[in-house]
Amino acid sequence: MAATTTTPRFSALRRKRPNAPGELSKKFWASAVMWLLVVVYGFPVLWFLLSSVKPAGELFSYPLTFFPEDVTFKGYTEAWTSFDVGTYFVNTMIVAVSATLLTIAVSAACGYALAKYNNWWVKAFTICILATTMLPGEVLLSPLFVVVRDLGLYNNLAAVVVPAVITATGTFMFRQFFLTVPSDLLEAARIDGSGELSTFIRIMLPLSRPIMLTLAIFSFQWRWNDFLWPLVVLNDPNKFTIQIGVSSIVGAQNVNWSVLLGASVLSMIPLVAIYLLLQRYVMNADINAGLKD
Amino acid sequence: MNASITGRRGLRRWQWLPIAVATAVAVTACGSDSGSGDEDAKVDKITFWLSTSAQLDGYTDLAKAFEAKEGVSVEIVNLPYDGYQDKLRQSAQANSLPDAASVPSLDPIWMNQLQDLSQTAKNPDYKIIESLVAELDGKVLAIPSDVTAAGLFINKSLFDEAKVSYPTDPSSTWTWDEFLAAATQVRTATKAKYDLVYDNSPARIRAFIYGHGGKGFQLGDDLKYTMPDAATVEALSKFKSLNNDQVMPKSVWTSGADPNALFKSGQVVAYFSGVWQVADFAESITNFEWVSAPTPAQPVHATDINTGGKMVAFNNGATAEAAKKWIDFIFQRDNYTKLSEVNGYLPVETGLALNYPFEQKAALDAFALYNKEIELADPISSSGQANGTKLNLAGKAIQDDPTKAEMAKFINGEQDVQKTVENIVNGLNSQVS
Repeated sequence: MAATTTTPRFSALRRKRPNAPGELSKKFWASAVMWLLVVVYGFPVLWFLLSSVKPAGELFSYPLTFFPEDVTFKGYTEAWTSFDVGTYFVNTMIVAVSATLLTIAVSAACGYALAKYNNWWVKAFTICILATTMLPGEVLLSPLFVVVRDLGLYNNLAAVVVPAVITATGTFMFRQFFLTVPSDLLEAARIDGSGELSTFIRIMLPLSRPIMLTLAIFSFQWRWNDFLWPLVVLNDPNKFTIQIGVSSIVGAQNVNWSVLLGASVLSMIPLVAIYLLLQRYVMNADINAGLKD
Repeated sequence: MNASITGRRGLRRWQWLPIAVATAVAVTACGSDSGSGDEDAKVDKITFWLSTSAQLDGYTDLAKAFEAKEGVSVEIVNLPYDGYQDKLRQSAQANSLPDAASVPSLDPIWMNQLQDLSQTAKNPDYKIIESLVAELDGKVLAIPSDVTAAGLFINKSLFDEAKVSYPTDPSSTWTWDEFLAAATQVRTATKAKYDLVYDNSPARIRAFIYGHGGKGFQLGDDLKYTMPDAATVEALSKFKSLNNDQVMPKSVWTSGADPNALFKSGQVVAYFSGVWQVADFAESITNFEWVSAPTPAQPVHATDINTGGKMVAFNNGATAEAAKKWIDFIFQRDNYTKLSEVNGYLPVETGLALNYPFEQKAALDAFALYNKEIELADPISSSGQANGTKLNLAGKAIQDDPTKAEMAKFINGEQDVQKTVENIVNGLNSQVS
């Protein structure tokens, strides 16, 4: 919003010929590139959606067709009955929502501390957090499993949530954001007698809303798509998450594509819904509100 | 003063945060379980793990029958194949292995927790093929749920269109050269794209090697792979020369193209894969007719015979006896007949009269053909499977077969056949030393 209202005014002041032909063609090319990107990204998704309503025999027939000849929802109904979709959905929802809330709370606090407090041990801690991103997940699987088991979390949804709460990505997103928030704000709050915690909650957190929502989308997506870890720590099929169900359609020797496509579309719906709900806030990022410089 | 009042009001806007967090934690905690329960109580439930995309119904039916007979319910958990081995390994660490399972291969980590299934495997009434059973020090650790065999599928519509004939009886099969000549004739007459697509798998290439008279990659007495014979090397060279983007597309063995999808497109004359494709083809090939054709022999009539899941029973204290009973129940003649029919298994018990419930003639014919192929197959056909079991029982395993990667380099012209064979042998041996 801010960008679109200010740009014409600036260019008018600078050049004094707002409707020059060059300007128009620039706009044309800019939006042409955007539309091209929409097609490049949208086409596979559209094909994927259309394929999910094709019968199995049509998926690989030559020549490939874009639109289904017979529309069938057999893939969806088979996917729905091949595992307990409802229960797995609820489990995944519990995991994704609680992990996301906790991740945001912890990352915001941690990122704020890393950005605004200058201590040697805070810097050391920063390096420790960075180090966690340098090990691949497979290496951590076994030691993490032993810790979770000894904490008594095995076969408990909390075992999926707890290890996911601290993420280096989230912490650094907040850290980088809080670095851009002028320390003047912080000092002004201190002079007005605000305590550290209330400064954080009342001033800093509301400012970071776009980051919170961006991280919310990411974190929700990570937990929603998580596969190997939930498979390993959950034992009771009543606690399985949706990706375990979807993956069980992929066999050792062959894949039932039509059912897999149906199940994949089903498992995508909540993610898309979350994004549509939150994207309004993410696009609204107006970071410098209330500051003169 | 003023500040603290607005402060409290400001904080109130965030009062949902701790509540939300607390709710989230509470809700997650609700999911927790009290643990494995008391062990003294009468066993009324056991768990059975397996991984399958389409062969679940047979077990569900048997579980119902088992509950009616023994009063023990069987909870069947279908797990994703990808990650199943990891899961078993971690479960062993957490003392939460299932009571019984159908596993892809035995793992030294939990092998010592298996029960002896000799009573089932050696029951003369069941007639279980003895060479397929995994036995260690007189203890039978695993019985395969079914037999699988590699084999050839052809696009019947294309053959008919080109008016080229093909053998239907495995006892009078064709040679590889005859088959390839016929396929080329069909391809040129029908303007199809390729003669053949061949599964990118170390097990499937064994069938090609054996058929050409090679012994392939075999274990020596010291449990190390030995350098293969000249016929094997020659067969691999021939296989490379077929990957010329005419007879076979290079992309399958070098860049992971999906041969199943290529064959289903109707643009390929033949597909070398295995019996597990039959159910899929019956369901999802609708734009042409397909049939199973005899495996070519040049001159050795061989294929690759392997096993499906390996049935095991774990020793979990109170449930151990019920788990063993469940495995025995599965292999009782009548029950196993039903299981094989519903799941479309090639039976591991000999002499069964099976009526597979397929409507399609091609699918029924395919099963009849595979059963015949297995009877006629040269004994070397099951040696790949036997080597794997031998290593397993010695506490070793090939985690990552180098055949695919080395063959890709060979087909791409990055190395010669001698280097390829050496690399495969060394790659295999580095994992078993």
